[in-house]
Amino acid sequence: MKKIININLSGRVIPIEDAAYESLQRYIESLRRYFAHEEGRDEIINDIESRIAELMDAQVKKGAPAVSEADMALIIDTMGRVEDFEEVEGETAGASTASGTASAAAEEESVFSRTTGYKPRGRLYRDSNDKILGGVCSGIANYFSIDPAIVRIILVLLVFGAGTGILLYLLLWIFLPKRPLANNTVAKRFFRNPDDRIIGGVAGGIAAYFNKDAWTIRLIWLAPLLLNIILAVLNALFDDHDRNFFPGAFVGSFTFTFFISYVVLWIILPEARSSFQKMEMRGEDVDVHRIKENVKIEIEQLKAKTQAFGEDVKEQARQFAGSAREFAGAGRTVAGDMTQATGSAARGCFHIIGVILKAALLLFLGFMAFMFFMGLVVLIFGGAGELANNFLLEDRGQKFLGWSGLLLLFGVPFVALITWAVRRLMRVRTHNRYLGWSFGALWLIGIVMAVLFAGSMFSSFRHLSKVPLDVPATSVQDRLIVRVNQPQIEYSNYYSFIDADRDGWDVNEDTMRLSDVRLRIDRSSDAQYHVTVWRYSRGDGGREALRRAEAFTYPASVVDSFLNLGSGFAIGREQKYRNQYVVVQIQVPVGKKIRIDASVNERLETELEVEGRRRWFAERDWDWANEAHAWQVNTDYVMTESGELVDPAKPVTSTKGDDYEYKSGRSDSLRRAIDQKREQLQRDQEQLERLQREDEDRGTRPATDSVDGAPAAQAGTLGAAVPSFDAFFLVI
Amino acid sequence: MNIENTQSQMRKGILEFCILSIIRRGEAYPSDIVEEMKGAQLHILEGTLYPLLTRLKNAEMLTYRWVESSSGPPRKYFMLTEKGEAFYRELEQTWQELSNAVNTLTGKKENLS
Repeated sequence: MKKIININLSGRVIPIEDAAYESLQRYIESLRRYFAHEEGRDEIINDIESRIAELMDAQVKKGAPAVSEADMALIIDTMGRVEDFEEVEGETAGASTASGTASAAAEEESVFSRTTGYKPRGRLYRDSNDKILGGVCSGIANYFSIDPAIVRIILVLLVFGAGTGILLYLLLWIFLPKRPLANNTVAKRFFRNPDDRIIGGVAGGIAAYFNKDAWTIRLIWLAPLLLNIILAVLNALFDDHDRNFFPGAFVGSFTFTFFISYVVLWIILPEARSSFQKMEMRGEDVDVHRIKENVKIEIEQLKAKTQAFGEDVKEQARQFAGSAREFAGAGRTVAGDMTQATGSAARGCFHIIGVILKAALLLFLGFMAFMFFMGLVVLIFGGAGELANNFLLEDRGQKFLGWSGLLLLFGVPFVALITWAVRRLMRVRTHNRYLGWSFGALWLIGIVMAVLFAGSMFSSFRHLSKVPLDVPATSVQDRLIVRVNQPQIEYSNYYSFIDADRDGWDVNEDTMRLSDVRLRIDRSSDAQYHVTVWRYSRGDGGREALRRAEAFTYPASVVDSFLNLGSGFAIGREQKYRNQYVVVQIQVPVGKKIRIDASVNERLETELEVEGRRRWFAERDWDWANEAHAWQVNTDYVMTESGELVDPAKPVTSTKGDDYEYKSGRSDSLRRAIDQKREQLQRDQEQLERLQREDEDRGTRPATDSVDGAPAAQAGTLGAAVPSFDAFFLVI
Repeated sequence: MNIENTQSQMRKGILEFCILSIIRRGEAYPSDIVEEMKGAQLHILEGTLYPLLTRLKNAEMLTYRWVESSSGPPRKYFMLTEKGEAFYRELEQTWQELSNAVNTLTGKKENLS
């Protein structure tokens, strides 16, 4: 019983027996190897293939049901076996380049050593037949009769080990002589499998090597990444920022290591193109093949001996014939050799760079998709969308622009990526151009909408307006005590995705409470205390900003000698958040006292420090020359004629430095405050650096240090995805 | 001394010359070239001919065109370029000189003109 298959050879459909097909494949493979270094290799093989197809077709037309093994043998005989035409080959190769003895002899050597299985026992060469850069690794592999991929992997590991691999490689590249070595007769070799691939076929090739299912291998590769995603989602959902459930960075660095290992293998492993390579990859049928190969090698070696004998004759004849042409020819060949060498090294570099770029692109796309995924999770589960809708986005147009822009900007790449992955998984090979164009167009629309939205948002915050409200303060006699008598606003944790380390604000479905209240103390123009509450808001246009400033209230009242301030103000969802805040202006008559209670510092969101704690700034529209004041809480200050507050317990002399330029206490205290701040900053900086250095020292681990440096950053970015959303809304 | 080897060496040198001379007479299909050479008792394998043609083509001695065939896909027919023509002339001259020299040396003087 014989199996007959139909093959398409050079545009002809030919029924052929399975066995004959196999011998055809072997024959083509032998040609491919034989012409490995020929410039027009593919063309030659195409020509031969189409001629074979023609001969087969003639056979079939004669009435044969299929091309049999005998037919195949006949056809191969007509075409000639590699062993048969090599004697002609070597000579014609030399003759056609019209070069002198030296280069022709070199070519001769390369031709027959390739086929005769030049086994350089005891000598190390670079293999010019199988190389990525200089053929060093495959030369070493040949020497030890192992798979070059293994040597390459070891080399890459050495490169990561403080870069010794690079030096070693360069040295070997320089010192080892180049020689086209015989094929390494290793039973099984690592390849990338083009028939079973999703990205580069690495997992498929390894699976084929170990005879496992490709998905098992892929799962091992993907496990850290999947784990990372799951953990990130879990962490996001359970909002436990101080203590993550699992050390994300640990898994993150694993993800990166696996990613790098994939890229490295992608570069190192050759693609199994021919059927012979595919057999090598699986280790299939290789024993029979090897025997055949070995027999062939022996025969060829015998032949080589006889040929070597003829060599002498040939050489002399040639020397006699072309001593003049020799000179010019040799020069030309050397130049040719050099361009060929640099060309192939450059090609190797391009290959490596290309793979890295491809991998980086995939990582970037994957990261985008991941970000969008995280965003969706946060939006759906955390209610960030609701928050933005309620307090940030105003009208229908803004909402439409904002959400559609976001959806298109992130959704389109995500969907495109998914589509791409699905098509890859389903092995859809057809190129769908419309798909790409429509994705691109949608994404472009998304970008335009996002830009419009950003502009609209910007204009919503463009103008700043303020509204004054006087608080009667006639009851105050000699001293005013400023205090906050409401409890501090605490975060109710309504939106669980918001990091609530900081109190002093709150938000829920329909109200936002803020404690952004600033104090400003001036000299009163008369003998009375005056208190004015200024409410500020931003808006699209001065009038709108004013309307927004009027729309909220801030409680402040004077009872006896106390100025009771509220702990914050509320903004309803109709009012929207437009960076509202309050400035309480207190005018103190000259010679009268003012005292800031500690509760002000504790309960209000005054962003400003006082003598190492909080400092109060004026707003830009207040024309204060110097904006910084250093005050302490629970201290009685007295207003002076110059509008300066002084502490009678601490005479001015004590704050007065020996600075010659000293003019007023105000500028001096400012300078001192600045100097103090600078000193403290410097100290902080030093401490930070010391901590970092300690951290680095501790973090250095042998062998993997250069791999691990990057993954930490990588994990950082992945992990930062969640907190950055928090930060975003805190800023809002 | 191996007689076969010497013979093949002698044959090889004139192979290109012969192929070019066949193509020079008109467009040729590779298997026709093989047949013609076989007719002249000069055997060449197709597997050897194709790389030779490709090399000559890459050296711009030859060019080819696709000719529709009655059975199956179009076939490659080779023809000589101007450069190939010049190359051939040079070879021809060399051949004349060589054969004269050989004939003189081997005593077949009647071929001298």
